[in-house]
Amino acid sequence: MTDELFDPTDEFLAKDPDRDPALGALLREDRLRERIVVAARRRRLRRVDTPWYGWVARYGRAAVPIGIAAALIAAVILNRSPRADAEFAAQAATDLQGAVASGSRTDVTDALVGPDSTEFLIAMAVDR
Amino acid sequence: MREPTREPASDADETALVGRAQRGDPAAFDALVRRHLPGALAAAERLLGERSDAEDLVQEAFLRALDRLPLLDPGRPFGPWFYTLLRNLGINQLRARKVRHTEPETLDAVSPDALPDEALVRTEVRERFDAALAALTPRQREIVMLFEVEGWKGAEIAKHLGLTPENVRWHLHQAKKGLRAALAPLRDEGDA
Repeated sequence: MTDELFDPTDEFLAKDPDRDPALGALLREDRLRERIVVAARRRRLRRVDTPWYGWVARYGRAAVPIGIAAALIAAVILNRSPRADAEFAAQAATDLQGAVASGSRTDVTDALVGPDSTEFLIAMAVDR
Repeated sequence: MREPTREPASDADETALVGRAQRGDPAAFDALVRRHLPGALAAAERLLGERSDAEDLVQEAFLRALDRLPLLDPGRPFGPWFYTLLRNLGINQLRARKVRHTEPETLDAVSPDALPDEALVRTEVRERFDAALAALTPRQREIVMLFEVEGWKGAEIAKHLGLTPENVRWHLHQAKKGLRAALAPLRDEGDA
């Protein structure tokens, strides 16, 4: 683009040329394309390089309700456990009383420490 | 200096471009942007009226497309999918602004699928124009951008760059000569 030598006395250099709408439109389009391409590359980089605090910032608002829901579920589960333990203890006490009443040493031992075979599992399964 | 990439224009090639873009190839996505930008801009401008709003909408649509690209069926053409995305975003913006619009269907009239010949001519002119733009010196490019896009006067550009107004006009003259040559086919068509 330097095929003409600069001569400040040239007449056409005395005033600004007319603007060219078609040229302007294409140049604006070119600028927009560069903007999009740069933004797309930034977005890709962000996706790859997001640090832990980036994820926290992005999903922080969702984490609060999820945490509350998890706490509620945990509370329900923990509330159920003491009752299950109590039921198990009551059943064990009943079994022990039954074994003592039967007068059999084996029954008492089995009620306290469990039988020495796995047959009791089958018996329990059948009984229930 | 930027080297404009020549991208083939057939549907099969576009499918290949989409596949590459889905696998994370930035050049393929850039090529899709290059190919669909003129039509998208025209469509957005018709929908929203304002040029600057249209540019923002087009940028948002392309970035949204980038996010959703993994969801696009590889056999499905990019153009109609992208124009639907653009139109929906534009309509949402209009609703948000509470501006009544009456002709969303006019978007179809500017999609590349509706006017393949025009789109092809535009693509070819675009490629020539990009090559001419890439051939300018950085100073010439800056001057022509400030003059034609930003609307600055020669004297303002001269002050900004520490040149004389005559020097700025000379650079402008040189730059525009090359760029106008690239636009000649479009102008000839308009004159015919």
